[in-house]
Amino acid sequence: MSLRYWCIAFIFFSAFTRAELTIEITQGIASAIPIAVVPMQWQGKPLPESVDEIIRSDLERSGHFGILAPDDMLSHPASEEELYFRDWRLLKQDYLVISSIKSIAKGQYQVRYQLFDVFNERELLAQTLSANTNQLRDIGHRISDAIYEQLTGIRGAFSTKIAYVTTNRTRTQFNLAIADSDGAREKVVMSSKYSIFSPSWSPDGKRLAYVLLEDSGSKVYVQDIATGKKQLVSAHKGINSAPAFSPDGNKLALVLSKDGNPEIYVVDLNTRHWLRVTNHYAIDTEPNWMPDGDHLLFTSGRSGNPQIYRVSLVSGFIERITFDGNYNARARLAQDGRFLVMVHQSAKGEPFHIASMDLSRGLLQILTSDTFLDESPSVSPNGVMVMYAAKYNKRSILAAVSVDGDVRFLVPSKSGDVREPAWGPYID
Amino acid sequence: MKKMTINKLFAVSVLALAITGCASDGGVTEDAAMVDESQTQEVAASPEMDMVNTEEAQVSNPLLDQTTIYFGYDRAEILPEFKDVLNAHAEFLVENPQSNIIFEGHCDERGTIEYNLALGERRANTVKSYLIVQGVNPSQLESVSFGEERPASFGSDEMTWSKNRRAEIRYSSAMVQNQIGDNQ
Amino acid sequence: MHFLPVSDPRSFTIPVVSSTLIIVVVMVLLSTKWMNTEPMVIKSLPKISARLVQVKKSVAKKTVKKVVKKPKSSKKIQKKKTPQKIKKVAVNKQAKVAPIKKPAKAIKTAKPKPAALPETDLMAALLEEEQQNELSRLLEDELRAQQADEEQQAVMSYIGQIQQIINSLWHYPPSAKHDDKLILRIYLVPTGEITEVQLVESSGNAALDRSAEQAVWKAATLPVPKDPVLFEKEFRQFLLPFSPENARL
Repeated sequence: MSLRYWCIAFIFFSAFTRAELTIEITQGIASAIPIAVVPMQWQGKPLPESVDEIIRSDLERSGHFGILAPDDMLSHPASEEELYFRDWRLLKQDYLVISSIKSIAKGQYQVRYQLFDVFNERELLAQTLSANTNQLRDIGHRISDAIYEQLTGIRGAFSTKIAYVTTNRTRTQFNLAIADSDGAREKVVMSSKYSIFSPSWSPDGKRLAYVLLEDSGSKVYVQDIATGKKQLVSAHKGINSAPAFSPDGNKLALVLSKDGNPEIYVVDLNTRHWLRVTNHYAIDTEPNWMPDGDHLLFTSGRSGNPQIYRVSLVSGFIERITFDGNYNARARLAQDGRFLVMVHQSAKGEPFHIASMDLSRGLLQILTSDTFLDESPSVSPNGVMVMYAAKYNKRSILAAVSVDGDVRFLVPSKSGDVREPAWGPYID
Repeated sequence: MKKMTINKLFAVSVLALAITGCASDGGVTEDAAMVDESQTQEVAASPEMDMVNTEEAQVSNPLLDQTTIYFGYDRAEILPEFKDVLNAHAEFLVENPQSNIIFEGHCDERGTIEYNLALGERRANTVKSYLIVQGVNPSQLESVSFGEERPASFGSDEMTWSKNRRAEIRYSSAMVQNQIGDNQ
Repeated sequence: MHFLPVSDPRSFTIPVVSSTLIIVVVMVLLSTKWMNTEPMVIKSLPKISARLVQVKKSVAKKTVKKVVKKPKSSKKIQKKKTPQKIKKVAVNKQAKVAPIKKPAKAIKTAKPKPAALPETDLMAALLEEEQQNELSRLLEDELRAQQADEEQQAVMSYIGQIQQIINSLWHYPPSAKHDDKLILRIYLVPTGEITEVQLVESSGNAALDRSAEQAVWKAATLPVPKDPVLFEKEFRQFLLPFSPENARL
């Protein structure tokens, strides 16, 4: 009798050994994370830099956040005691940053900030940093990096540098300059009456390789940023251009046409040993290293129009990567190597835009539309943002677009034309 | 450029006629007459053929004043309308082995800087090859590319772009420069 | 316990196989013990009184099998009509319905009281009774299948509604990748109100995880079946895997 009951219990039990009900959610809306960065509390003379303004601009430029304007805030708390989460929930903010700054010595400041999760009313981050007057911008960027990484899981790139070339309208003066990723604190590192282009950062951020287009032709130089000393690397007959530092910083890939037509070569900067990589009558140019140091992406006209190819430096095997569109050039890796960004023209006569290609799905997507004649895409070291040069209102300006969203911003520049951006690496 | 050539042609022919008209010396007249005849003959045959300038000892061709060859978008082939100009330069170089030419290749601003540097070189090289085929000694020829970096005119429209897609012919011998005048 | 993704066929194969094994064991035990006892379940027969004159045993067996398969095929039709996600749920349901049927059948294999009639008549009567039992069994199975079907449809309609609601409330960060995946488990009370949300599996992107949790809390209450049995069975707690398939990255 009892065994019967046990059996029945067993049956009921067995009836429950099934998978739990699962309801798949697969559609949503991509939207920026609403965050409020409260103006920093400070007593005293106005500071030379508004650290909270830098944080707001950084986060907004990333395209991942919707920034609440300080004027729309109901209160400006500076500490937890002054904080009422309900206020911020009313404003539909997901996150909140409060901060304060105080002077600890002449020209020395201490900054404290806290990041809160509004819905769960929890503190996520709290840090105290010190800086002198010249480092206030750096502090701002560092805080932006910390907040960005905490909320997206991606390392921030706000503390990095960019290199670019400025020129006057008549193209009689060229300057190679380095600035913060937001365009501030520009420093000219090389000036010339000759055109400068294709700047390439060494992985340690200490050197820049570039092309100087003298009357006798294009030549490749490597310059030490700190000392300004420049070294001629290649001045063969014909073209010497498109330099690209290898991931270990010891080699330079570049383009030479000394053997009849533009081909890709790799030179070891220490041994000066040259390796020829391509051997084809078509134009081969714009080499770009892959992180493994064994492959190069490059542009080739071998199929009739410029397309992106990949070559193994070990086996010499060449593989075509792009098939979509009439013109694909100057490819750069993005999003941890899952994407390529490049200059793209869908069909003859169409405008040139920056496009991203999902390497796993093979999908190509055009990222830019307000600007035209887009060129020279350069990816931030965290793989998220693409900076490029474009024509806008008859001027050449720098713009940036995120690979994962639609956010675009224009890098404010002075007069003249700005071109050829190169996003610097992380400098630890 | 064509109009200029024809005008020059006309001016020179009038001048030549005037000179022959004024000449009283037999020898000179004879020479002039001979020159005149050959000149009129050539004019009758083809107005674009070499003109003879009686004032200078060496021959000069107005076609040689044309030092820019234009190209189609994204192309490096020589268009038929420029063959005669190139032939003229070729002939000149053959006759003047001490003269050298540097071909400069240029592009319009569309496309990447590096690809355009390569395309510019292609254009310069195409012209160079053409001249070699016409019998010019390769040692007299050089090519260099400036890509899109030295435009002839600034702007972002079809007209400007077509003016920038070019190969420039630049003579680098001093002797030749006196004759030819300013290069564009 | 870590659940396999619903699209993985192993997620229903394992429960089906283990349930079947258990049922077989139970059936063996039941058949040995219950030969001489009264049947436990009181049947409520439908009001069909027609007597089968001639039914071939083999044909009857085939019919039985067909009946078992019917709900599955009708489910398949439903699968085609409804979106992919519901299909996966239906597959789970199949696994679940099958074992329930078998014990029911097992119970039904119990024979009625033995008759005390002359041999040939006995045989005929026995045959007749067996045929009647078969018929009633068939009818019961059909009823059960029908009920299961209706249940199935009801569950699927609630699933559809829940998906729609949460899809429309889900704002994921721009850094979300199309192949990111996180799993939440939510707990409800019979009114449909959400009482707890657990992160079962993170996507690796904290902002993405949070966006999913926020979507659920924003919904606050979800449509659930009124039938308390069905609610308990399926909707008291369930898994919500989130995957931003329409993300750009």
